[in-house]
Amino acid sequence: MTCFDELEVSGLSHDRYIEIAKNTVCIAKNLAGIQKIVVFPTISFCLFLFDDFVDQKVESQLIVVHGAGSHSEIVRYSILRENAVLEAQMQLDISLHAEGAQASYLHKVLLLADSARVITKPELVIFHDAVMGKHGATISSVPQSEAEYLMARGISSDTIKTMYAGIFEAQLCDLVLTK
Amino acid sequence: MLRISDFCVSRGSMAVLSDIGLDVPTGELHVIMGPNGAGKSTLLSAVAGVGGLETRGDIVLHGKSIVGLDVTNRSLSGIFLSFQHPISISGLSIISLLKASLEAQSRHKGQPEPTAAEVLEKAKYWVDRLGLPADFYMRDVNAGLSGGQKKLSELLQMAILSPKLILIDEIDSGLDVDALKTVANGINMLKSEGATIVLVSHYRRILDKVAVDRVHVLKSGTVVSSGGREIISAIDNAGYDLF
Repeated sequence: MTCFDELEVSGLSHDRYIEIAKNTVCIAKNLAGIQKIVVFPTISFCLFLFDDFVDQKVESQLIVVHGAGSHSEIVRYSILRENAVLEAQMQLDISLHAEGAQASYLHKVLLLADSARVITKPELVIFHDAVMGKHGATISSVPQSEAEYLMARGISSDTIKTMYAGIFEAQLCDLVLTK
Repeated sequence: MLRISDFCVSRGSMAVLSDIGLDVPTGELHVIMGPNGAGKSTLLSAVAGVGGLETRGDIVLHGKSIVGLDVTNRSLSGIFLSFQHPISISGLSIISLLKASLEAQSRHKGQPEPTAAEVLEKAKYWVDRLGLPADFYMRDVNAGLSGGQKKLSELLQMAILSPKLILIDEIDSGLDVDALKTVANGINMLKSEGATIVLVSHYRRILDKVAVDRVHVLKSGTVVSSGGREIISAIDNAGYDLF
């Protein structure tokens, strides 16, 4: 059981339009399809996304529209196993009327197979000067030197992948718990 | 008994070791000395199966050839390599690594896997016996540890995993006086419990503290001399030009 199996997953689901009218921390697992989220003025919205895909191609588009003075923080952790392909697009919209809005997006990806692929595409659509927007992405796999060290302790490559998935997931759990 | 015969190692087109022959009887501690670049670490890596080295010749451990085994299966057959530069793994605790390793050993032997409580008990026992800090096994694998602490982590792992053959690569580098004593005592403890040990070191400060049975000198990729402790003193006095 993963730590996210124990957490309540948000109402985010395929192709939805959601309005955030109060300060919200939201968690979703294996999100796909198109979601458009409107964050009302002065509202804080925090979204943690956790993916764990194997043998499937997933397209995910998230559009977050910001009101004036609103804050959004979106963190996505994706584990991609054999033959998993993820195309993740994140659009942070800050319009002319959204003075003081702040938006951030971080996407971390762990590739656990040579056949796993990811395309992560952040887009900042900003029409106002007095705002803050930032994004970042990291894509990693199990470092060969670390894998070899663990194999020299008798641990199989499959178990090593499970261990690294656990470490990766625990990092996101820690972030969630700080909220 | 470890028997290495007609053993050659190359890295790409470069020959690193040639015609190595070495017998290490069960329960003995043999030291490999040699100048920088002689191939000491390469020899240990090649026996453990790490580093993607190309090898020829044979390595027999307790009557079974291990040359066809990958690094994982060499470990499961009882070989432990204490790395000269242990790898750091942030987010993975030493106890989690040990649990996974002990589980793998049990599966390999067809025995029931140890429970978390049993692994913890074993870790507490060895931490106490080796004189390490009580919660040392809760630290991440070498991440955030000093050079000396990393070597203590290697010592703890080798004690808990109870291998038949322990290959120790310059464990004395980066150790303060107290840690050196801890490591030397730990090595002697494991030897007294029947482990066969091959230790690479440059310095007699550790060799004076461990129960050495035989010394081999490796130079330019081959064993040029073997003998008793007197070799350590001779090297200390005259260097490797002796050979």
